[in-house]
Amino acid sequence: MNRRSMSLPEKLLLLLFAAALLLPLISLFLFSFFGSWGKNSLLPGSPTLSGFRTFFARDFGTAIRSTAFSLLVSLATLIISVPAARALLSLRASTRHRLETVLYLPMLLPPVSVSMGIHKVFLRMGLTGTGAVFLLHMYFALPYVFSLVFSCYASWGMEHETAARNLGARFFPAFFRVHLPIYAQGYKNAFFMGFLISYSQYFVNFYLGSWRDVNFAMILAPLISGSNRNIASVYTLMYLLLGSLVLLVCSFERKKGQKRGGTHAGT
Amino acid sequence: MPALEIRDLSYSAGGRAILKDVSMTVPDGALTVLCGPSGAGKTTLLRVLTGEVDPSGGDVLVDGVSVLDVPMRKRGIVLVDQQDRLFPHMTVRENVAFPMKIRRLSRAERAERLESLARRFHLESQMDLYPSQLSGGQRKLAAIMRALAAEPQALLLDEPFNGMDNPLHMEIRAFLSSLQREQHLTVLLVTHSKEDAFTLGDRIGFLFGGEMRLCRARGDVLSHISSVPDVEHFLGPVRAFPDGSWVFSDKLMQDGDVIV
Repeated sequence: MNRRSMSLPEKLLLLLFAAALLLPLISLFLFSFFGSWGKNSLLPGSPTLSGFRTFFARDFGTAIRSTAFSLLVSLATLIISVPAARALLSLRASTRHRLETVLYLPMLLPPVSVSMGIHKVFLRMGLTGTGAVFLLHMYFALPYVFSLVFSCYASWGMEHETAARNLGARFFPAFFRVHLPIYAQGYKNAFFMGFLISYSQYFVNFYLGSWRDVNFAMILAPLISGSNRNIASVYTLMYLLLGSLVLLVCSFERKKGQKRGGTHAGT
Repeated sequence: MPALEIRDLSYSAGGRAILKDVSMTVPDGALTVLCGPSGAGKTTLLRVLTGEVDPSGGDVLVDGVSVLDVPMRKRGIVLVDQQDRLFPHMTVRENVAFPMKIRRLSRAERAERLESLARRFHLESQMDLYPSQLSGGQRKLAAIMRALAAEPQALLLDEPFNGMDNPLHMEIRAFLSSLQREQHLTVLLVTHSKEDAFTLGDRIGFLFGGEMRLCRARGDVLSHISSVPDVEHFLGPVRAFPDGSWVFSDKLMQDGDVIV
C-alpha cells in the first residue's frame, strides 16, 4: 500500500507532539544518571548510579508487587466486564442505556466521596488490607474496562460467535477459537486501561491506609515533591518503564494475526 | 416428509408482532424461496429457525421432529446470513475446516472434503487467503462452502446476492442452482427479489408484515396469485419465457407472454 507523504504542517505537528513527549523524558534521563546540575553549569555534574542503587536495594520488590497487583486487578476487572457486557448487549436498548449509566457512575462520582463511603462499608464488613484495596481498585477500573469491552461488542456484535455455534460448536470452543481471537486486541486495550487505572491510583491507597507494599505510586508521590531530583527521576523512570513494559506486552500480536487484516476489534 | 416444517410460528419483540402464525414446508432436496419486501420478517424467521431467538409460539420440525428445545448447534439448520460472518482470523481453509473439526473428522477426511469442496466452488487458489483478501462473491461462496462443510439437514441463505453487481449475481445464482440440484440440498433462500424467487425456487413463499400470504410450488403460484392482492401487487405483471425463466414488468424484456 502506498502511503501518502506528510505535508509540512503535518510534519511540524508530529515533531511538536514528539517533542512534548520526549523532552520531559530527556530531563528524566539526565537527572537519573547525573546526580546534580548546578544552576550556572553548562553540563551536568559527574554521573552516578546511586539513585538506581537505592531503588533496587529498597523498592524494587514493591515496584514489581505493585505491577503484579495492578495486573491482577485489571485481569479480575476484565473477567467481570466480559459477561456483563455480553449480558448488557442482549437487553433492550432502553434498559441497556439505564444500566450503562449505573455502570459508568464511578467515572462521574468524585473518588473522595466514593472512597469515604466504601471505607465505612469495608470497615463494617471487617474488610481491610490488600483485599480492600484490590476491590476498590477494581471499582475504579471497572467503568473504563467495561466501556472498552462493551464498545467492541456494540460495534461488531456477537455474530461470529453465533455463526460458530450455528456451525455446531459448543460455547467454549466458539468462545475460545472464534470470539477470543477476534476480540483479543479489544480485550488487550481494555486490560491495559484497567492496569493504568490501578497502577496510577494514589488517593485511594492513601485514604485506605499505608498499603505501600502493593502500590508504587504511594512511594513515588512523596519523592516527586521531595528535593532529591536524582531519586525522584530514577523512581519516575522505573515507574514509566514498568508501565511501558505492560503496554509492550499488550501490544504484542502474533505474526499470523498481522496478515489477516480483517480483525476489527481493536478500539 | 418435508425436511423442514414451520407450524404457526410467532415471534414478538418489544410488544410488536414480527411473525404471526407463519406456516410453511421446505421439502427435502428442494430449493424453497421465501420472498417479501424489506421488513416483512424474513430474516427474523431464519433466526428463529436456527435457534438464535426463541419464538413466542408455534413449532419447528426437522424431519418430523420438533427442534425448538434442541440447542442451535444440534439443530442441523445452518444459516449463511447477509454478512457472510467468515472468521477474519482464519484462512478460507481454516474457516471451512472449522465445522469439520468440531465434528471431529479425521485429518485425512477433512483434507479430502476440503479439496472436493474447493474444487466444486472453484476456490482452490483462494483457500489460504484470509476473508479480507477475497472479493465479495468469493466471500459469499466461501461462507456457503463452510456451511456445507457442516453437512446441514437444511441450509438457510439470507439474501445471498445482496451487494453483487449484475454479472456476478447471475453467475452465483446459476452456480447455487446447479449446486443445489447436483447435491439435492434442502435450501430455504430468503430474498426480496421476485426474479431470484422465480428463477431459483421450486417452491415460493410470500411473507408480508410477518404473515405468510402464499406458499406454493412455483408452477402453482401464478394460478393462486389473484386471490392474494398483496402478492399480486408485489409481483406486478409477470412474463414467462419458454426456457423457464420469469421476468417482471418493472424489469421489462422484449419477449415473453404476460401471465398476470
